[in-house]
Amino acid sequence: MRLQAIGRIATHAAAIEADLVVVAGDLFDSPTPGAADVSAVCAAIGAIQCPVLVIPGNHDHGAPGSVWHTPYFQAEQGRRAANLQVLLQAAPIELETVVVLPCPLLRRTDASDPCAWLNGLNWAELPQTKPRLVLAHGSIHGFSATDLDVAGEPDDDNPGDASNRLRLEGAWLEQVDYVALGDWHGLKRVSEKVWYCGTPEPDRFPRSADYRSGQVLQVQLGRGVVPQVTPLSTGTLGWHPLRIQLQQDSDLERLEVQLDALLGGRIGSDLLLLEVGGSLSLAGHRRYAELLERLDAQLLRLKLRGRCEAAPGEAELAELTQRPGDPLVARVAQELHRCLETPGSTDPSVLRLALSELHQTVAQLQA
Amino acid sequence: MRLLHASLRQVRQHQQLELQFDPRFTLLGGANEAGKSTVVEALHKVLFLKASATGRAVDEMRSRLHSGLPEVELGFEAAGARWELRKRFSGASGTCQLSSDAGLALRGAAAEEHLARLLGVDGPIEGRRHSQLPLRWAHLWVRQGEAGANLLGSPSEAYDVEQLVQQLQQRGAAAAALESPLDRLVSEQLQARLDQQFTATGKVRAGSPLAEAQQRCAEALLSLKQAKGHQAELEAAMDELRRLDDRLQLIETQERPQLQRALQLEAQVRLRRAQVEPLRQQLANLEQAQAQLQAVQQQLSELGAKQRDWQLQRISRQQQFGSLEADCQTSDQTWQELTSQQQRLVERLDLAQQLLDLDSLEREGQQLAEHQQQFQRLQLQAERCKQSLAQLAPIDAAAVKALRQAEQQWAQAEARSQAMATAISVIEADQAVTLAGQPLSPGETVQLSGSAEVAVGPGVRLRISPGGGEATAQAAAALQHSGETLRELQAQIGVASSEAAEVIAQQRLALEQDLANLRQAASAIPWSRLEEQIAALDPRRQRLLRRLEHHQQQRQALAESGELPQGREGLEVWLEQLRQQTNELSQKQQQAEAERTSRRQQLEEQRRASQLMERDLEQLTGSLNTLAARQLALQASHGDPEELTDSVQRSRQALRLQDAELSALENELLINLPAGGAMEQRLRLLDAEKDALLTSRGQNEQRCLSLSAEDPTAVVEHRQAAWEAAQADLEALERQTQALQMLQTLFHQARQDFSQRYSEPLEQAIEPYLNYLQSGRHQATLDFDPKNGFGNFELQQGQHRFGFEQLSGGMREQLAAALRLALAEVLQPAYDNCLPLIFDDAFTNSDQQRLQGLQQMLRRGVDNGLQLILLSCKPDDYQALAAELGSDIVLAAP
Repeated sequence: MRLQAIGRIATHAAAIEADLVVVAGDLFDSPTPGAADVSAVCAAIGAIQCPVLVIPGNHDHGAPGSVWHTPYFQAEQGRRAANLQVLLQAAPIELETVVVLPCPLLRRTDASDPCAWLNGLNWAELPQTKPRLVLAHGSIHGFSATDLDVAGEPDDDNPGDASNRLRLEGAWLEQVDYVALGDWHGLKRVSEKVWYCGTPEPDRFPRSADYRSGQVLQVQLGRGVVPQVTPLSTGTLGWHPLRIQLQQDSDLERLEVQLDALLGGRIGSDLLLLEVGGSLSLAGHRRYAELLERLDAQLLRLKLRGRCEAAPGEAELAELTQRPGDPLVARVAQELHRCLETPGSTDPSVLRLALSELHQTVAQLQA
Repeated sequence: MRLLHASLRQVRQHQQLELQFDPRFTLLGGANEAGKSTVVEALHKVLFLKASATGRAVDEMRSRLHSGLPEVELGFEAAGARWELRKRFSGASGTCQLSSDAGLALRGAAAEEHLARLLGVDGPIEGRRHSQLPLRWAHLWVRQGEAGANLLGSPSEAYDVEQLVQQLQQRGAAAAALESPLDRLVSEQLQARLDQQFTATGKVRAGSPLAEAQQRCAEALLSLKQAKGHQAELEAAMDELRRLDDRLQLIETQERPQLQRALQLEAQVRLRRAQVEPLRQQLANLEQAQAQLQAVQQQLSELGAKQRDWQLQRISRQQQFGSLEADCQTSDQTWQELTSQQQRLVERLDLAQQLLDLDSLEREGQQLAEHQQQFQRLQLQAERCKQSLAQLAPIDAAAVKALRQAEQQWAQAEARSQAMATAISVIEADQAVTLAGQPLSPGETVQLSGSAEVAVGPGVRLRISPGGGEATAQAAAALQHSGETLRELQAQIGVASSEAAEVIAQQRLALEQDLANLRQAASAIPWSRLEEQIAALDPRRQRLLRRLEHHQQQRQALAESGELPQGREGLEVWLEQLRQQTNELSQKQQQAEAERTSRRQQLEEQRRASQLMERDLEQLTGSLNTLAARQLALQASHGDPEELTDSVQRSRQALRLQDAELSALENELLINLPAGGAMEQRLRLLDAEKDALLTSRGQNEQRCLSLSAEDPTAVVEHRQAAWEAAQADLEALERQTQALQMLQTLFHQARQDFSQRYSEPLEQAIEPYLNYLQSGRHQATLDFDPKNGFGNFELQQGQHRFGFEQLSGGMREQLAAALRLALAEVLQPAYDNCLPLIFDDAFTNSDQQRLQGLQQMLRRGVDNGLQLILLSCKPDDYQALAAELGSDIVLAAP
């Protein structure tokens, strides 16, 4: 899917007659991707009609021994993607229309600022008419903290520590015309000339309503002018979060309605994060399990968070407690029910599970 | 069920034994070996052992004394009828007959089965299952030695548990069944599912789903850790690769070129130093010569000045020396004069002294001569005194006193004699009067101290006797004696009376006093060696006179000038004056001596200083000569000072230029010089390091390639997902297991609650029996478990609980008896409201006091409908009870 996104980028680049495509890190999601991925990526990039400039990011950092240094990649690059240029050195690259200032990541985590070298750059030596484009990968101060998920755990994209932290408050920012940032998977405008463009294909469930992913940015640059930034859509996959509390069997119908609205009849192109809670009757829970099975077949991926428990409904409970002929079963069921009604130290989910097990055992033995 | 009578034939020691049982209480007494236990066993076997049984159970019954096979008959009541049971234990051919008064008569297997139904058991025990025989009605048959055993510790069939539960249900409130078949099935299934997961000891069972899930989870975690390890390893290898690259680059671009440049510079510096060195040497020579010449000139100037100075000093010294010499001579003269004055004074002193000595000698001679005359005078007087003394009788005061006493004694004796004597006085006589033949003249008076004859005329004779008798004679004798003594003394002393003696004694005393005075006067005179001293004066005088002759001239001169004083006092004054003068002169002389010595020393010092100065001057002159020669030599070799200065200037300029160039090279070298020096070696080491780094780099690249052959990041992601899935599985399984355990626990609790419905009525049934045992509150407690029956039999005393096994032997017997009585009481409704209970020597550990309580227990059992049969080797203990309640049988030994 992500490979196909490169094809869509090629289409956009051709359509707008782009001079240049830049990738701000994490072309691969590993510093040592498999050979098949390397070949496929090179082939897809080779199909883009303009030069493609890439810096390594934290996932595919440029340490010696990483993919960028392997003879295989270098051979595939030569064979399939002559337009691909990997920038492993922090040094200005002057192209026909633009000066590129790459800030590559040469290790997975780096406590120093990858942009620091710009502070020592002699700006007078750069061409004064060509726009200057900074290409960097990492988090920036004051931004990552707000994007932590609800559980408060550090995200893979936004590590809680200060490594790979970009310092954009240097005087060099005045000297450049655009800063293309990578690392954050969603679209983010930091300032009028500093942007995270996000991933071209969504790769996670959005955590907030304004999270946008699945696009590239078309940027019109000029020396000393505010860049014109336009997002171009490249994503095709639907990543849907859905939260529901199931309290009674009729809630299942409500869930099915919501699913229909989200997925339509699409097969194999959606991913669903179902955050579920509550409890259903034993019969209702069987229907719920069947629904999950169906969804699992329909979706690219079904991710469940939370648990919908099964507990005997009123009638099912009565089947257990109203058994004068089986005093032990009735007594045990009554005791479980009493514990559920009076919250105490016992885990209610275990109590419900015990009731369900009892019901199931009795049903099997009677049958 | 009630036993009525029994008959044993050929059973062990009994050939034929007939017994009748009391419906309530039967005491079967008998000594040891009387066959009591045989009876108990026979009654048990006839009821429960199959007649056709073979093996040990039957063999034990056979008699060794009596021929024939064992045969037992028993009459009993059960199920509302009277029954006669007869079994002949003849092995496989054994027979059984059962008949009732209702007309039923059964034989063989039918009889055995009917009998079992009457007894509420499954069927008769066969020979091969004889080990189960003791379990039949074990609660009712108390065999010898088993009375203290815990019945509830036996399998539940030993006490008819099913019937017991039924009876307890009917007896108590527990009308409902304990558990239904479904209950049991559900519980068993839960247990089976848990047993799948856990062993009996509660550990997770190997191979169980839970164990497998745990295993999978652990493996997934391990696998994940390994993948992360690989990933970290790859990162580390990449870091190492970068380090190698950095190091290689540093060597190539910095360290190696720097070293090479330093080596080059070092060679240049060496060369330039070699060039500069001769120049420096030349300059040094010139500078040295210049310095030497300057030094010589300087020295010449300084030493010349010094020479002049010293010469001036020499003249001054010579003048000082002359004046010092004159002073010295003056001092010598003064000293001479003083010395001659002293000499004269000494001579005069000597003269004066001798003159005084001579005078003293003369005086001494005069005094000695006076002493001599005086002594001689005293000697003469003493001689006269001694002569006077010698002329006087030697009478002292004691002699005078003795004479005076003798005179007094004589006078006293005479007075007494006269007083006692008869005096005869012839006044006138015309005839011759004689007394004692002696004529008495008229006028004469004779004293008579004794009787005496007085004759007057021729014819008259008178005897006159004094009146005192003997005393008169004694007085006369005493008078005579004292008279003799007096005369002797007078003769001895040589005087006539004491008065004369006293005069002589006083004269002697005066003379002796004079003599003593003379001696006293003589002792004041140093008379001893007087002669010698007088004799010795003369030589001394001669010596003095001879010495005075030496001073004759002086004496004469002095005498002429009138200086010589006359008389001793004058001499003494003169001598004193002379001494004073001598002292004064001595002081002057000492001062003059000191002055003279000091001047001599000054003179001597001056002389030595002059000598030293002369020598120094000589040396200085020598040095000046040498320096002048050296100055000439230096100028001869280097030219005059101006020329030398020019040469030095030129040479110095040339050297400065060379040094500047060398210094520049050295600075550059210093900048390029690596710390530690030894550059060639460092270069070699650097090359070696580079080689090693290249090798290491190659190896590391290979390592990175091999580590990244399978994308470690992707692997970590996969394994993370796999681990999370395994964990979710495990959690689900654990939750399910937890739920099952909870269910099982609740089942156990419920069952426990129900079981109390059975244990409580049984505890209540035991309680009245226990109350007989002893004072204090006792309570028996027990548990009921549907599967295992009753158990956990304990005795509670106050706050304390004691397990059955913890109790004493006697207490165990009593508690077990109470339990059996209660069990029989609970069970008897199912057996026509009566059950037999047989105790065979069951209370051997109980004391007499407890036996009373036991008998009350037994009485209660009987009163409640039980049939008790008590076998005892001490039947006397129970005879009263037997008499009260039933019958008494004595079993005699066969």
